[in-house]
Amino acid sequence: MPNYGIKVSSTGIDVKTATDLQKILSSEFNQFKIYLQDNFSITVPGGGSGEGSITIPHNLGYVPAFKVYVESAPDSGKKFLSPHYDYSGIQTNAKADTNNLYIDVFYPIVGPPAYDTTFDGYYFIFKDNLT
Amino acid sequence: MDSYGIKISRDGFDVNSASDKELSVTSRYQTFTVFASGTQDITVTAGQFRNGVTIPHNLGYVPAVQVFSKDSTVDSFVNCPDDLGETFCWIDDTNLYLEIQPTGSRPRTFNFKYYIFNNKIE
Repeated sequence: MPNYGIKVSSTGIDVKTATDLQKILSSEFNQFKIYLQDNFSITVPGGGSGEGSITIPHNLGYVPAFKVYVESAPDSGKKFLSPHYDYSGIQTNAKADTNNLYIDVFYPIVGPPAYDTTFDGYYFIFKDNLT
Repeated sequence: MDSYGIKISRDGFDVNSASDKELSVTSRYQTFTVFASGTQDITVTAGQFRNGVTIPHNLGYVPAVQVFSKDSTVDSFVNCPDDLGETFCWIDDTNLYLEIQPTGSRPRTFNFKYYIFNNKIE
């Protein structure tokens, strides 16, 4: 570790001899910093293309790291990490560029729903860059 | 940055002029904190289509989660859900759910490594 910084060991571990895995905080290693986070909803139109999407601006000027969670089924209370592909249901994708985060929900196998169907989700956009 | 807090720059960057992404630690932005982590093996036996395990967290809200998975016969982990549609993971306000639906022959065993965070996703 450099001659300056901060480190905190796990309970019961001597910070002076702790290995990296035994530290809960160390300025020697980068931490992912959450820049933006929020709920979102995507509606897949009934009888249409079977796809719905949302664009979330971040305007960082570089491609940031991100994490996206989407409901497995409307109002299920269960979320999975995107991308996700389930043979019996929906597929979700998430991607980012220098200005926006893009999230898609679609039905690749069973086709579009008969009526408008809304999926809730949550996203994190980090200050940390992918480029 | 606010008039109070803590920030530490990454090695090679001057903390007085470092941009946010050049900081390793800053109290200005929230980070992910790990509530629980563990490993789990799941097997589908001959004739079994899909199998899963429920892991309680009992946080009372839906937390962020990160899961990695691999076939037990290989060394490399990938993100779960994987890109082959063989491993799945869901989270709700009480449990983490891990499931496998392998393609091809059975039996097969998958190894999982999971992290449940304190951070909410609702």
